[in-house]
Amino acid sequence: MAGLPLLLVLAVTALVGIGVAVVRRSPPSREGSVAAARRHATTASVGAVAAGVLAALVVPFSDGSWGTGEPASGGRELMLVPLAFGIAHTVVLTVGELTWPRPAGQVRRARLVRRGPLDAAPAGLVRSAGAAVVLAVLTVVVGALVADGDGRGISRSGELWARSSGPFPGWFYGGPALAGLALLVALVGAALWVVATRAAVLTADDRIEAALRSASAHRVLRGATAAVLLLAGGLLGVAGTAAHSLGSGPTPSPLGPVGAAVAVLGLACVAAGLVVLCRRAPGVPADQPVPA
Amino acid sequence: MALDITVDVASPTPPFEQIRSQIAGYVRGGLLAPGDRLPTMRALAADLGVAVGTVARAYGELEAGGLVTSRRRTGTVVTGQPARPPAGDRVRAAADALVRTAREDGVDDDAVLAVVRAALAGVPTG
Repeated sequence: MAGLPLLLVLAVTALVGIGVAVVRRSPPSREGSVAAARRHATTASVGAVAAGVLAALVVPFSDGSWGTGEPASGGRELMLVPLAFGIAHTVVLTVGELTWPRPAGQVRRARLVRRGPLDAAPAGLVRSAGAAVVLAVLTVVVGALVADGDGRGISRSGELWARSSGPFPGWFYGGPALAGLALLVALVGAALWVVATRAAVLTADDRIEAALRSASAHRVLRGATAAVLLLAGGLLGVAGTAAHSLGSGPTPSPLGPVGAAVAVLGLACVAAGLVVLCRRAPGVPADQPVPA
Repeated sequence: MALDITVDVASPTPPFEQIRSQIAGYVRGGLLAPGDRLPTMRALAADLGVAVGTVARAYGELEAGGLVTSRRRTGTVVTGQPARPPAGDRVRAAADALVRTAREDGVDDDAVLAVVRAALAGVPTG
């Protein structure tokens, strides 16, 4: 049941996110096309969170313990929980963008502007996503370099002593994490491209169309960034705890305080991931009343 | 300046021609400058609710007309307006001179237009 606290944290975060969304909801839109687009976006967003939570619940049982009533005891499956959430969340959001309401009516209008994949994405979230990916990759690489040969622990020895500690995020944990991370990054790139090329919302106010597209990119980046931060935080937390354990005791070494600092950094990453997950997407400006 | 493309799917003019003519008009009118990038075919098709092939045909015709060029990395880019025939410049200069003369002589715009129409119809104006 080691994954229960993580799932509990995800559930509480989801509830906080829903609460924030309900309390700070934009006023209803009067334009039919805008209202339909907002309904579609809400459905896709709720579906993405539900799919993400479902994937996060299923992954701990992926070692074959499904049906036994006991979640997997392996740390590798637990480590993949945030990535499973991020991947499922991104896939459902992409499907939502692919099925975005198409223009209808006899006369269609389009703005002659070129949209790049990152044009609509909030710059701060893009930077956060990039930093989170770099941090996760660095953690995996450094972990693989300093871990034992089996990639599951860390050990140090002196002339008269030898100590080992684990679990430690070596290649045993880092390999699947890196593969999942690469898949998530590719999916996010594809999702942002779909967001940029999907149909515009027909509205008299360009700010509304820009806000809806920005909100779509925000949702994609928000889930993925939170997933990567939770992954990096988990890896750093485990690595720091193992290093701290190794550096403490009868033969203290600088590894102890370094490990403690790494563990604190991991906790900070987890907290940052939860904050990102609760960040509200850009609101839609109030539109003009449609003449009767 | 934001430019719009409008397509009437019930019009007898095919949608690709409507797209082509509007973009060509923007280029010839100087509203799209050389180097300006057009939307991707997929994005413009999605915005207009038409097939990607429709936009691809419009872009192809524009490229054949020398108004745009397609590059692998940058997409479809405005190359500039094709050289205007010399006669066009001469007529424009004559029209400018006509308007100047009319202003100097206090002739109003309706009278100027009537003179031009008469000249076009071959009626002696002197």
